[in-house]
Amino acid sequence: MTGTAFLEANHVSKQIKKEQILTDIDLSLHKGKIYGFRGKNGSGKTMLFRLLCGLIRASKGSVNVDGKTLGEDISFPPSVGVLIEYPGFLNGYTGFKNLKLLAEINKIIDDEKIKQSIGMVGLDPDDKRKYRKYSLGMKQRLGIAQAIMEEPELIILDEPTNALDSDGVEEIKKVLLDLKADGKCILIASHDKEELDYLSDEIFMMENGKIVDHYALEGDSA
Amino acid sequence: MRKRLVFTRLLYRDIAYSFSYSKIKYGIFFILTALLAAGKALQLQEIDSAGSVDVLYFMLKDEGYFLNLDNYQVPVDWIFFQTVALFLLSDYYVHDLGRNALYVTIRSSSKATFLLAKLFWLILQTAALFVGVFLVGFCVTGLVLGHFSLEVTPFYQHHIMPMLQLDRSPLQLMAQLLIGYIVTTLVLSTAQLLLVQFLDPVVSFLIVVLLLGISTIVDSRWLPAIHSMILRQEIFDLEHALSWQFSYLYSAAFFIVLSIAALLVYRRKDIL
Repeated sequence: MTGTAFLEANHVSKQIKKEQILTDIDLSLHKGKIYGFRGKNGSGKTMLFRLLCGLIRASKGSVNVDGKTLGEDISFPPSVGVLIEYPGFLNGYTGFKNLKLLAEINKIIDDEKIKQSIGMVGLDPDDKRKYRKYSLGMKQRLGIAQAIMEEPELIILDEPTNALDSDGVEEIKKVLLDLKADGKCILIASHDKEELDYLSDEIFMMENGKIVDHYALEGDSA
Repeated sequence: MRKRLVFTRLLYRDIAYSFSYSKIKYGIFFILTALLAAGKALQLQEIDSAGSVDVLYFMLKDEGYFLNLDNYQVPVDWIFFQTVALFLLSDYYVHDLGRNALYVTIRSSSKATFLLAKLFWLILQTAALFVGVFLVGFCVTGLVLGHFSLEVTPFYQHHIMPMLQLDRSPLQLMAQLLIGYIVTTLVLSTAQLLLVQFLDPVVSFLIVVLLLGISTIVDSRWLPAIHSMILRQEIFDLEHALSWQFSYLYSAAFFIVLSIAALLVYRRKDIL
């Protein structure tokens, strides 16, 4: 891959209470690509995602986003959308109202954009049902809408198709491919090999906090 | 400029989110407060002609200093209000730190601003909670007793004034009682906010409740909870000379130290 990387991890390691969580991770990720991360539970995928978002600090090594070092130049990537575990959406609010509460923090998008994002993931933006009435699949879709609504440059999704039926999985795949075409840098963690292979330009295999394999798909050179 | 804007939005979010998240729990708490106030009002009415101030005083007072364990009385109502207030406040921030910190801090781009908003929310919420207790107590006792007044009643004259070592009007007594509860709960709740950075939330809560319980036994002005014990203040006990000036200054200083510590720890903490 040529050109400057958008997101770089340089020999990143993380230790928590003497336990080695991540070991010597090197990444060079570009915009307009989807990167798949596969590995068993506890292999370090989610922890790596948290680290790339600035939520945890590297014990060794550094993470650069768009040329700026996390923890030194910036605390968090300036434009990032994340889905790691369900957000604590309020049961008494509609999906729209829950997203609006989060969008109000930055105020970079209007109500129309929030509704558009809800529609993109296959939910009805004008649905008056409260979040407590949502099925697991609907909750997952709302979580994805939350991650993409502010049109972030970097999108990090941990098991985005969890709890979705086959139609839902297809819809989300389409959304992700559209976002990729828009030039976003997308990172996805999943157990599902077939789904990851379909979506990803490159795959990273993780085991015990290390990247044990890395390969490109569809002729893309890693 | 952006930080100030984000702080204001985070504070608004905390107010809106916590209201929706906790409204049923607060509703139950205020119903219990109303029942307790009504019960106390009926109880006092049998003794002498009482007013809302008398009922609130009896509902929220402690049991004072004691000389030996034989005459120790557990201040049940005082412990109830303090413990439930601490639970209601921490229930929200523990939930929000656990479930939403990830999504909110990434958007605000600052862990410190996120926690600073929580601390300001804590001040507002604690004040609102106890103002709520006083308002509910005042309204319910007014309804039960058939009059709404903050004047000196025969009950106040015969049962409270003889105990006073310093002259205080019913309104001044209420104000001191109210502020005492607010500052004490604020300090203990901030201590818990600091503890949850290191310990399990349940363990943190139990430690703070233990600290609260110790205050009923140990006679030390350095224990934060003692400052909401009206009978241990100098207006009722000149011997120990615990003044409201000391109580408020000490609590304010303790709150600031705990807040700074919580902010520093949270800034360095991983959001797991």
